Amino acid sequence: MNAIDATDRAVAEQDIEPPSLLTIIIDTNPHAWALLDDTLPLTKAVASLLVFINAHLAINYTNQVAVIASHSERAEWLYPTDVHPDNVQSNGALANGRDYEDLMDRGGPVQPPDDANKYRPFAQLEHTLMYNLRKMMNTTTTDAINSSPATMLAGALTRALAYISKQTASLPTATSSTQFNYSDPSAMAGGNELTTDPTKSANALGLSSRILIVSVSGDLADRYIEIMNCIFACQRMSVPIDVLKLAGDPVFLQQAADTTGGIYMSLSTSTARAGLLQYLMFAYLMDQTARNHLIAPGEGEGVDFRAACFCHKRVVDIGFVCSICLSIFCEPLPDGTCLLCGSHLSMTNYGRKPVVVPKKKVKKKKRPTESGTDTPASGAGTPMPG
Amino acid sequence: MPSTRASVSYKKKDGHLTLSDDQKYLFWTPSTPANASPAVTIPIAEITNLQQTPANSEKVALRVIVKDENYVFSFTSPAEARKEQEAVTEALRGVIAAGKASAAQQLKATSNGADGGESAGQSAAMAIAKALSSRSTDEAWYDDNKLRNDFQLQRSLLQANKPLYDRFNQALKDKPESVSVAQFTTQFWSTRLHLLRAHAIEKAQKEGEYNVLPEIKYNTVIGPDGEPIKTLNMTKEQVALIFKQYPVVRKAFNETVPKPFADARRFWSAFFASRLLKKLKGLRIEKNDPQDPVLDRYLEHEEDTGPASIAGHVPHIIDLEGNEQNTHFHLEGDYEMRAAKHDRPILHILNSMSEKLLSHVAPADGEAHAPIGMDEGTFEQLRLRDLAVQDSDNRVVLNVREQARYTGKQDEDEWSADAKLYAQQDPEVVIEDIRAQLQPANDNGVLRLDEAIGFQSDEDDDEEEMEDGATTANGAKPAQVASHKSLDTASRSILSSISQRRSQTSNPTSPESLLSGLSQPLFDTLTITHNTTTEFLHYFWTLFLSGDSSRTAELQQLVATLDRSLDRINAVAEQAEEERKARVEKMREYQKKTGKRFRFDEAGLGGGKKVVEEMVRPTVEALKRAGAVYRTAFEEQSREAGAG
Ligand SMILES: [Zn+2]
Ligand SMILES: [Zn+2]
Repeated sequence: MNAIDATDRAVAEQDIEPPSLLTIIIDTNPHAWALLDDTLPLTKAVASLLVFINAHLAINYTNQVAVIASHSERAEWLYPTDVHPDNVQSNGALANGRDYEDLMDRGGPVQPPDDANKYRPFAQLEHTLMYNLRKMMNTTTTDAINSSPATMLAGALTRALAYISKQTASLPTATSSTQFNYSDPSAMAGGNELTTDPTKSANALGLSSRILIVSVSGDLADRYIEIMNCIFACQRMSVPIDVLKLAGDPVFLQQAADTTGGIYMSLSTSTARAGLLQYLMFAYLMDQTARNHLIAPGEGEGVDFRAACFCHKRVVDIGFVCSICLSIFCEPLPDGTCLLCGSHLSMTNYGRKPVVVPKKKVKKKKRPTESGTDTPASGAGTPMPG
Repeated sequence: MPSTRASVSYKKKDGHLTLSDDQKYLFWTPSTPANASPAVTIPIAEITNLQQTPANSEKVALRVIVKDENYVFSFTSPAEARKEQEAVTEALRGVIAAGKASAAQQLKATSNGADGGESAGQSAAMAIAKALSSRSTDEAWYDDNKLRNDFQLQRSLLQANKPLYDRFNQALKDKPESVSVAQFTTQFWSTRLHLLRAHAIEKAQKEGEYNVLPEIKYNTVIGPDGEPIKTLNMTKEQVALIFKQYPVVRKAFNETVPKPFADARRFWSAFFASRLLKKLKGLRIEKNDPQDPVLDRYLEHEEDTGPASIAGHVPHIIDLEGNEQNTHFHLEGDYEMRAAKHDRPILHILNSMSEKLLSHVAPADGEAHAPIGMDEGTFEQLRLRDLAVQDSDNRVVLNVREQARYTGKQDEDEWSADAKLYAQQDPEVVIEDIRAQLQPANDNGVLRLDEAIGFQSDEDDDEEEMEDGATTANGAKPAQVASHKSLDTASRSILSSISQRRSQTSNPTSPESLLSGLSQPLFDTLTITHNTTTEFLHYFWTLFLSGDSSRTAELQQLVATLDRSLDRINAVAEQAEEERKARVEKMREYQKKTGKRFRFDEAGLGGGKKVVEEMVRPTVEALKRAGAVYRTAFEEQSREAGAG
């Protein structure tokens, strides 16, 4: 046997921790946060998340992070965001007057102020994230937050998935120049540019990605199909969805974590919510590589596997399923035609309005012809086993 | 009888048409010479079509089409030509229709059995062709009603599938008395038609041919004189297979029995000791193998290479020989690929054996009468698709239709609890508050994260912190975000969830951890109780949603059965509690006896009522739900009935 072959090298490479991309989706539904204001205000939650993100980036210098806001009526990137070279002058001020004023009001340009007490990549990230969050809240109208009690989770998940695929396809390798350049003031941890170079070869180590959803609102049924599609896409891409539920109805998110192998925790009391930072650092910090060796925390109870019907977006526990495309409906279809695939489904006499009281005086027979069609009365040849 | 007789001319010769007495043939007999035998005989079953001249046409003729031929008979009777033609046509139609009906009968009149009653306009040959080509047994597999009523099949499935058998029996035992056995079995199978279908198909499969020679072996028995006696047992089927697979043996058998071998027995005993057998098996013939002057003649016999059904139309794309002829290079590949190695007898024998076995099997994926050679479809199947640049997208697009008709829950009743809470808040205030919160704390815009999260690095003053902290509406002090206390609480809760998970997953292979401390028999009882309950739940919903007013009594009984299911589950839970108590007692006694003061973990023992209840919680909930739904409907309709 030839001792010097390629397999030895491959084994050696396994020792290096693969880079990990953490995509955080923050549910920024203002109504929901207002309800939590007494116990856990949004700012404190975001600050805890920043500590968590810094820890993630500090574990491995190739680690990356992305933050998306799932807002009332839209999903928005908080980090990384596109840096428009046109808008940023060499001195760091913005060319666009309105934005510039906007920024001046709120304490500075996109470049973070110099602070000797802070590691520059952390400061950069923190600044960008806070800036974008402020901007988003400032452009949120009252109409927008009143139009729907839900949050754009499906949109945020879609963006997260698109970003993950893009990063996986064009992964900055450990040896490439994209690792953090400490001497360059514009460099950002994990790379703040959305634009990635497609010519870069995929890393042999592979990028392990995960999604963390910090959720405060329920009412996800309106976008049931989209959310479930995202969940199944994550499952296929082996991207676990971790869920930290601070408030709201847990339906679907529990399924998301269960399906993708993520961690689900629900902080339903104010005491639990006060310990948010500890939950993040203790339960959610480990990446997939570490999780293979650990027992993950999580709720011991069963998962709520209910689905929403495709017709009214009601969460149902008893429903009707199309035998062809498996679409779910909360009530029998009016003409027996599946709303999704158009198959004609014969319901025979299933799904009628129940009749439980025998009619003593039959004034008008409702369905005289259909009685007992399901059960032929023949007693012949019954298969008695044995 | 000849009730149907008509004067016609055929090919300009006069004669007459008659129907045979058994109504199977149509004869045309020329008038001259007298007593001539019929010159044209048409089997009625083969008639594919009848055509007649229009009723108002002067010329009266009938064209009888049989496959590719057709016969034109002109009716010549001066007065009654039309009438005679109609009579003949009617008679023929009647016979054809009858033939078709019986052909349809043979088809078992599956789903579209109404064909037989259709007008005779459709050709009889159609029905006959159907009878020949359609695999009537295949179609039966797809017929739900046939599966539902095939009691033999159901019994056979129950015997083959033990869990199903148990479930069936248990449910049958627990069923309400008012539900007849027939009703119950229909219900039971109606949700399991797919199992029946799979079973039917499985049963219909036959084992293919096998290479018969190696299967026949000598049995050695020690005889009464102490000498070993070799006996050979062959079945009739094996003999037939040998003849089929090895034509040379049949040839030898035909030519040597009864001379020089007196009977078959002698032939076979000579054969199984011969060099010919060795050759057929592909074994090496040794020098000292006994010679047999009769059978050795067949050693040189060249068998026909390959069965006719495969040779001749191997598609070029997979035909190695074809490739050799059609390409200009030669493969110098593996051992088996080299032409020079092809004279190894074992390779030949193995190959020709495989070919033969295959040739005796009707291809499952092609029609027997399909055109020989490669059609477009075959080519598509054989094409090396992975080399193609791009496969066409053949996904099915699903469109969510009519969504708009339903969306927009303006109805306040459908709002979620969250939405109702949100509605009480003033959006202006909400958004302003959040904006204000997000303002940077200090002038340079740098967040002091340690301050922002409210973490106190000093060990001290939790209480002090609490004092100036606001109190919530109910007077309790809110937990300080990121205080030591809350972080500790968080750690503890995470650790407890981890240890809980660990106990569930630590030893997934050991049966004890799966049973959560229940004994195996008890767990089995619980399983069967659960299965039966599920069965009745199925039954309940089917009946409840059938809207069948004639079955309300049955439904009522079923609800009572569901209640009893609850009792049965509780009984299992009590049993589990007893079991657990016994185990705890045993431990205590052991402790007393040995005098050892160890702490045994009572909670870690598992089992008991609690574990059972945890396991069947969803089932119990489903039962309660079914009962509640029924009762609501009952009250509502009783009231309506009272009012009306
Ligand atoms: Zn619906
Ligand atoms: Zn469908």
